Amino acid sequence: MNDFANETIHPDLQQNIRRLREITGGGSDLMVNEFLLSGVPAALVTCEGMVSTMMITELILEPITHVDIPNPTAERLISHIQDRLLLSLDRSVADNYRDFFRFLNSGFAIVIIHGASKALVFGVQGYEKRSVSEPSGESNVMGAREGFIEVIRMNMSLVRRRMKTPFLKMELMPIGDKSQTDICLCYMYDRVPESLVDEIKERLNGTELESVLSTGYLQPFLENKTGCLFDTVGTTQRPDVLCGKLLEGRVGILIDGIPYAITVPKLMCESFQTMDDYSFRPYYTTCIRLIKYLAFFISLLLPALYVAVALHHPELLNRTLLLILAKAEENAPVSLMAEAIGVLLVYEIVREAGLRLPKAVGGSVSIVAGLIIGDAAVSSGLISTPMLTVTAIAVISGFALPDLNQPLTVLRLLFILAGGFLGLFGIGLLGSITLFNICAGESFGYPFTAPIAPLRIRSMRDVATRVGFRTMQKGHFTVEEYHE
Amino acid sequence: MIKRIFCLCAALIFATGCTGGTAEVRERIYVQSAVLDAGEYTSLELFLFEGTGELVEGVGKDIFSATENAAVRTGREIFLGHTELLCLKSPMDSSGLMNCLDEYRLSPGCRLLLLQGEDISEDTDTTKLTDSLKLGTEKGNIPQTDLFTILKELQSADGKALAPLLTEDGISMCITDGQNILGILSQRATIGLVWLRGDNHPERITVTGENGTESFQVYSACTDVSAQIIKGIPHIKAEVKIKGKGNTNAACNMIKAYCQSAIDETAESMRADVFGIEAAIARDCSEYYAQHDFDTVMRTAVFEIDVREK
Amino acid sequence: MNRISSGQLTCILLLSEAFMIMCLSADTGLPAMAGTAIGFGIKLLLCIPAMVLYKNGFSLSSYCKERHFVLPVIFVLYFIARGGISFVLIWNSAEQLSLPYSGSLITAVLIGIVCLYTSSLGLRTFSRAATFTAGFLGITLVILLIGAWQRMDISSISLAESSGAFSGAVENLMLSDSLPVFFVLMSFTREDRPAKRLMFLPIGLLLWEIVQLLCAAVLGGLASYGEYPFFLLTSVSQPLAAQRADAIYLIVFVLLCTLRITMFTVLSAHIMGTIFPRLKLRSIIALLLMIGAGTLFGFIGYTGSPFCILPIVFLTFTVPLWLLIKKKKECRAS
Repeated sequence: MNDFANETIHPDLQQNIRRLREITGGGSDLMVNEFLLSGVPAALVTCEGMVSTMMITELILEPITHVDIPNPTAERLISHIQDRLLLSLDRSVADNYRDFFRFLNSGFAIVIIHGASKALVFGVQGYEKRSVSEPSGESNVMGAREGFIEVIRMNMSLVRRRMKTPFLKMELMPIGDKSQTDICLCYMYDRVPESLVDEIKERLNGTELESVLSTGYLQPFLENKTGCLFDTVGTTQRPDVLCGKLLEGRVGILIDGIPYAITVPKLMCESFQTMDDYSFRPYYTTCIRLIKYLAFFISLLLPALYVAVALHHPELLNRTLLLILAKAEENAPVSLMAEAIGVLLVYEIVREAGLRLPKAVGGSVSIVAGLIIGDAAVSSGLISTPMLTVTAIAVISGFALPDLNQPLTVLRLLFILAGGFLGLFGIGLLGSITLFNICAGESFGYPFTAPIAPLRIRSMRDVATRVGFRTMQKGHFTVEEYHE
Repeated sequence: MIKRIFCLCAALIFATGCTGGTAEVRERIYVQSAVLDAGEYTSLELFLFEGTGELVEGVGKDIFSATENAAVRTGREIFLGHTELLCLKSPMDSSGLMNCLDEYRLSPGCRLLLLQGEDISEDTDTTKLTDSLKLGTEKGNIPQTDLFTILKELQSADGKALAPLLTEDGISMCITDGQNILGILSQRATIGLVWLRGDNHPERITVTGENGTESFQVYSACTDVSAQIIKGIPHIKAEVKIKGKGNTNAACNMIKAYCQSAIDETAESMRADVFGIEAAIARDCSEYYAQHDFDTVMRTAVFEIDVREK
Repeated sequence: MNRISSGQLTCILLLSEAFMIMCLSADTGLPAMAGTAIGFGIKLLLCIPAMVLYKNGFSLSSYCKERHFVLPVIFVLYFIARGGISFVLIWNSAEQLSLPYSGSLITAVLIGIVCLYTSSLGLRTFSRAATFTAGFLGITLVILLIGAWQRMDISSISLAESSGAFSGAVENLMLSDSLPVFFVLMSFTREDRPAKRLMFLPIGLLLWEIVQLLCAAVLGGLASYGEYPFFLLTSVSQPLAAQRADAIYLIVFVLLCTLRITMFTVLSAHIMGTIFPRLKLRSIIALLLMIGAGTLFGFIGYTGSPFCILPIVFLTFTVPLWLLIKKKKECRAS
């Protein structure tokens, strides 16, 4: 069935239509409207639900049915329509069935004429789409309220509206053998080295995916094979964030059908930055940034340190705290380490349940978990209050860094095991492994840990702190500085 | 390949249980203070934080076996890391104290109290005893001493240390060589040592001047002990400088008198260096220090006190 | 291409020095501090031929590729031996740590297992990790200073036992295995000013002097009591009000141990790769050889002697000098 890909369009209209029906297996969403174009048999082929009926009627059917040229042939009709009629802004020509179906299923209207071995393509997309709304995952206080939607062209316009420079280049290319998903490579061609763009294209073209249904399909092809636990490819739901990254010399990838953009290369420090950082005053942003770095360590290490210190190094605990802990743990049926792991696992289950269930039910999950299970577990002595507090603080700290949630969840559990078995020594050992793992992260030769390691003092102005825009505007920064 | 080998090794370590066997938080008892009697048999009385007046006893050939014995009696592990007060029925030498620091994870800030004849029974409030020691130090009534300072002094050339002692009259200071109590210091000498050591001067002292008894508020004070060799004899000079509000002259005279008592009772009579004499000689007269043994130095040394306003 | 910056070079060598400081069993008095300063002065002189050699465009990788096998093999053997000694030092010093298990051998074994992974990631990852660890080390030093501050007594410095400046200098040179590492790492360092490349010497000296001063001022005569003054210092300095806090230093100790073993493994594996390009699992082989050497040294109880200075001088001073003379002769001949 795949042999149609490079097959040229049949010049005979009836055979052509038969072939189309054959390829689609008689699918009911293929709409073929035959008509006479200046006396020559022709057909308008569309995919049901993908086109705007009004646009087709007004922009294509109405003008095209009035075409009347002397001695009409397929070639003359095609050149007449192409040269004299501006039926749509988005026009193209399909020579083979592969392109034909890609256009058809992207919401284009296709005119085939008897005797022509090519088809005229007009962009009249009119499918239902979500309107541009505030992104759910990257809310902010003072930034724009627009987020990407599922339609790539709309996303491209959202970016273009913010970056009117001609140096912003957007390149469309299809990916996925079956889905033929449009992806758009966006970059400032004066700031991104050509080698980086070429390598990205090479890697994307090298994929043998059947479809691209989320950003995760492409991410592994853009990462290095170092087994880094952290994402070395960034994603964003916000066009303003993407523009900021493009200005720093990164490459953005928009995917049709996905309200997220991929950005490469990604640095770890980006996970601690938000759009609001650039809206608030620098001193406040600096304070928030430092709190976020602290939150990272709290989220990662607090339960593990608590378990390790309480079990193996109680001399480190404050006397009062130790006594409170000992009293609270008096009736606990399981070990401190098992308790910590249990609480975290329950939290993860509750989170997952709340996330997957319908919103109306999701809310009640939190009530059941928080009030009923939490309260009952503490009152029955199954879980001690200090442990619950420590775990809650760690989890809430993780919320401050949604970008790092995945590695934090896994590492938190591993650190508890290391701390529980080997105390601070175990935490040190796992800390070494984690440190090396993070340092091994690299995307296209850009170290994930830059600009801290390797240290670039100049770039620290927007890492641990955030300087004012008077300073920031001096010297254009691009990530190219970090390339090793 | 390397990652697989690494994962296999890590799994082996955990799976073989090489790392298990740690006591849970609830399986330990936390000791607030301990009374140690290291005689022919070592007996240990442990006062716990939890439950007022709870006392755990253990007997053994050494501290280790006494602790083990106490643990067996209570059925819980004993944790000495938060011990605030260690009472010794007989003085302990530096190796014993070092052992407490190393083996039993005792805090270097743990307070030591020697007991002479006085016994601490189940009814004794050891927390109160700890608090009096703490407050006495804070108020500048007794010199600052803890496990670390006593250990450091016992390790010095003269091998004598200043330590608090529980007597019938309350807490006094004494000089110990780690084996015996060499002498108990008078109240005056104790106050004098506070000034000579210079770690914790009192904020207010009562002086007697021309106008009778009045209060002198001490803003700041510092002590400097220096040494000088004059005609082959070491001259040790303790210089105390004070700044405060009130009758300074009277205060200086009083402090001088206290310091003199302290020197008389420690350096002169017991040849004990408890206010940095050795350090001063080693620093200021290094050649002399290298050539003479410290006992000779202490025997021949001449002491001088100078107390004045800053 | 494995290229590291001068800053990363400084961090790597500094951490190696920090490991030696932690496992320090040397004197801590004023003469010892003077000896350390002299030792660092000598180290600076020893580095000069290597600096001149690299300034003239020398590259160790190119040299190895020219079928010169003897020198790379000597370097590999030296690194394996030093890695082995590091294992013994970890093994010995682990007795001073508050670990949740008995038996210090397991400490060395666990660190060895971790190094299996860390050394497989290569020099660039290692150098980045070194930058972070240097930061942690800085924080630890601040905690140590805060903790030691209350216990510090300047007059105690004079009481710290010391066998003199000369002995201090010799002892410091004995522990200078970072110098051959410096010579090899220069091959991977980006072009920079010599002062930047030699930055590890003044910072290292400062680190040594700070720790020695703290040990002397806090411990005084007690410094000679324990085998490892640094660990004794951490057990008596209390950054937290009443509690002892020596367990805090465990984390940085583990990081330093891992980095030190990884450093020798990565360098050995890299040089092995230039001699035998087809050899697979080089880092595992290097690590296993190090563990073997460590077992041997542990068995005979060897952790260092004044003779250790000879290979250091040979590899850091004599070899570069010989290569320099050879290069000059070749230049003249051509």
